Amino acid sequence: MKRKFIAVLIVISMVVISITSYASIQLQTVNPENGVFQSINGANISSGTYIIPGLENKVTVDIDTSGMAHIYAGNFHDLFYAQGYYTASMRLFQMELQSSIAAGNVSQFVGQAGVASDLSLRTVGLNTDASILVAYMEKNYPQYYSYLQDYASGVNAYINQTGGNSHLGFKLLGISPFKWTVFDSLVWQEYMAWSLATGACTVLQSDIFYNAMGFQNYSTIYPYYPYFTQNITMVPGSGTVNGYNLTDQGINPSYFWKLNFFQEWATGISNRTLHSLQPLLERAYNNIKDPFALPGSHDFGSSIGSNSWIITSNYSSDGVPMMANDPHLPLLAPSLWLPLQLDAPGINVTGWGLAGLPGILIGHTKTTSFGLTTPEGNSANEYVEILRGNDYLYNGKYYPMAQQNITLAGEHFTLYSTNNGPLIGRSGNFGISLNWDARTPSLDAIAEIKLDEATNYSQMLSALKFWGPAPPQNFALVSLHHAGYITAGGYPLINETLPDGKNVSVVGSVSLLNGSMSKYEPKGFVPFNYLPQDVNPPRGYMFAPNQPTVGENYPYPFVGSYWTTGGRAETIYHFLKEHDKMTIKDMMDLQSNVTDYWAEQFTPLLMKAISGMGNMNYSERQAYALLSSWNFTYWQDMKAPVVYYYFTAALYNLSFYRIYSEHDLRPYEPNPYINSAIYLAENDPNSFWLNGNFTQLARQSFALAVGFMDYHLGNVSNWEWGNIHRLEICSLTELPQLSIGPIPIWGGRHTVSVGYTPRVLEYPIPYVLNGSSLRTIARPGTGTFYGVFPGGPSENILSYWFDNQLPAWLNHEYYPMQGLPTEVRIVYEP
Amino acid sequence: MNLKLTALAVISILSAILIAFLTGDAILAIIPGVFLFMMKFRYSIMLGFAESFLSFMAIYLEYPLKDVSSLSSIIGGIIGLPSILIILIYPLLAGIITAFSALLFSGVYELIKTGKSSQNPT
Repeated sequence: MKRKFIAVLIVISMVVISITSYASIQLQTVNPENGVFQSINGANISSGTYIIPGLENKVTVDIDTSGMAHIYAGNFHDLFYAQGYYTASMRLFQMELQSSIAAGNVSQFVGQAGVASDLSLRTVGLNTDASILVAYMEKNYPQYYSYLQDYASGVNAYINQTGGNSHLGFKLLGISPFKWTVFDSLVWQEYMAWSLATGACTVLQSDIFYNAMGFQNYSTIYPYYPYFTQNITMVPGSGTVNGYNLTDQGINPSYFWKLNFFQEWATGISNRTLHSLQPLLERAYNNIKDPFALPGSHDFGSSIGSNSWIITSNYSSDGVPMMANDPHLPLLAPSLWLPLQLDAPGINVTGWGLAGLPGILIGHTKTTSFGLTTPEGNSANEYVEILRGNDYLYNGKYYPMAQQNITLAGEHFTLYSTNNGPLIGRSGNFGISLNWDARTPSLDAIAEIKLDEATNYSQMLSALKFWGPAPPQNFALVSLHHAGYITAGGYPLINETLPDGKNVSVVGSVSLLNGSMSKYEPKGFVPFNYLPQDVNPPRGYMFAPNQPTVGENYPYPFVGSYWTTGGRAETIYHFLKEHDKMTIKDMMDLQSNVTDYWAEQFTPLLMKAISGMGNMNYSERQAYALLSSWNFTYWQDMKAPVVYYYFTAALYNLSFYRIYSEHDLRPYEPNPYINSAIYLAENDPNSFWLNGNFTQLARQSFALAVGFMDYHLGNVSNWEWGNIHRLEICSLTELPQLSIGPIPIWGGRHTVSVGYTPRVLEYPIPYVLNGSSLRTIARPGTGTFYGVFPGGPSENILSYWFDNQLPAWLNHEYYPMQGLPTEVRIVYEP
Repeated sequence: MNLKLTALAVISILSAILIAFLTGDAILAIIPGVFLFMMKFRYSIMLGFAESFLSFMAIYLEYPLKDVSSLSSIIGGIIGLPSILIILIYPLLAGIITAFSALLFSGVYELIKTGKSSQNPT
């Protein structure tokens, strides 16, 4: 009996041991020795000396009290090697996840859940374009290729030494880091370019709208130049650049900009054919929308923007030029940016680099500074392809499409491409191909390092000849004595024959183009000399917060474009106009400005419309009083912004969104320009878009909005902007536990210090996910440089350095970018 | 006899500590249980569990406790478990493995012992 009992115990023991052993394998993540807890070791950065094979000489890395690392090396090889090593020590998981997303390999991290994203980005062709770029750089620019290789070697030296064990992300996923290559850097460059590409989806959106509502409605809601923006272009004046304009070509701008560029003469596609392609347009749109995109990125509702302005020496209080820049990007934890100084013989640059790429993209030297914003002209266009089986028609003959077989998480896919680019959608004998300028190898990495080396204005301009083609960017450039802008990069030109018989090269298209004939193919890019640009403008300032870059007389008209509303541009313009001796403090004040220019224009019209409402209830009277005394700023404790937000959201719901829904446009169309609503309210109050009666619409909207606020927010005392408008700084993993926030946040969609939210009648409203990813102000002439960003150098959520600059960023404060005490000194020795 | 048991217990404890700190692998927690084969079932289970559970818990002393607490809250939030369980679960598994390993080998030892005694009626 006893033996039987013991035998049973033995069996039970074996079963329990087996189960618990299996469980322990499954729960390695929480293993205190080898699991996630190891990442605690990476939380602290301490001074010390590390032996790093591959270096030629000693490199010193001083991390100052703001978290900026100052890397001092003896030559370029060591400098970029050390940048790679240091960046990996801070951001290895971020770098590898980003690269995997960009390369269409994220399914290797997350399995089936990543297939849709991978397929989207493989379809666009980032992986292929990056591979071509790697080979092109290695062959044609071996010196700059070697810098990328040095950076990759530095990353790998870190991986070899540590195994990436202290990075939480790897532990959570139960994977080890892969070896970094030049491809990984450049595919991330491609992704950033893609996230800033205009035209890829906007052409599809335009056609979907045009097919449903016609040109009259399209040009009313999305005019080529948004209403009221003609006088606030980046390049002052009518559009003449280096003495050349549209009029010189015998074309009258007022004639040109009334033309319907959806017509067959402009696209080679009849309106009937275009209409029949509506389902294909929708399919293609969905195919290239990346479901795993970085939070907020790739939102084609123009939620990505940026601010920058320059002040010339005669407009500056100290008689030397100045610059301010804050690029609006997804706010991520960790940030896309890493603050660095790179110092070696021949280079001494300070600013922010992208984690994963060598060099500094936004920053300054002792004698220069440079920043960038996104212009919105088309760098991508789409073509209709006529297909027969796997062949495409071109100039009367059929050619086989190139095919690429890929496997993602065990599933097999075939991707096709024509002479115009990858096929992003197909229906029967029609397809749509994407012609994005990144098909031409984009040498941004070279331009960036050359910019970092430049010591005067002309050297910066020369560096930017290497920029692009993708993505075109507005570069704000300041040296000791000069200040100006150039929109560098490659804008594909389409040759158009206008209805009056004149020929002109235009930037992009607003609609699909006929891919079966050579006539509509891109014919080169806008020549560098005629890219939008100016230097030392007599009025003393320029600004480029994503508004139209040039006026209507520009020699290469931006037909394909999707400018932002220009609200931030208006605020900047009026501020600069009124401050003729700008100081650093003025620059900071403008960067922290939370006034909504469009609210200032719209509110009086709304107030006038509702002023005659009889029998307002208590809440409506309160809301009315709040709007009446509003100064159009958005601070967290203010109530009027909530009233204005819900008022306009209700107005959109009852008019624009209702009409969109009736035409099945809602999933595809972004917010209409607020300018369009204001323009119509002012000039066509009986418009179909305003339900035939603006006054009545405004009154209905006001009642709806106040009722909504009463229901969801309760008493007026709860109507504070910070109660509904909150920031979330998302983790790349999209796990809220690894994210920061929600934090009540200032600003609105159109304020200079921005807090993007879509205009929706919802509670709670979506979090702010995009914003000023960094702020910098530079005055090289006096050696004055300030900066701040919403994060820190480390990706370790337990580290002080994870978000050490966030409080200053939230308070619109800055760190001096030089002269701060050293907190940690790390020495890398060969 | 007591000396022998004590010596084996000490070896078992030391092996539990070494396994926890050198490998951190709960499956290897079977090994300390082997050395407890001569103990009575109840004591071998108790000692086996305690030595591995505590050894694996002691690993946390390598880290600042504040960070352990923060990280367990984060991971608990992701996995959907209470943070205290995140801290305890792996040491618990190791403890259970050693406890049942001790039980297993005690049982085998007991079987051998009773087998021998039944073959020898004197």
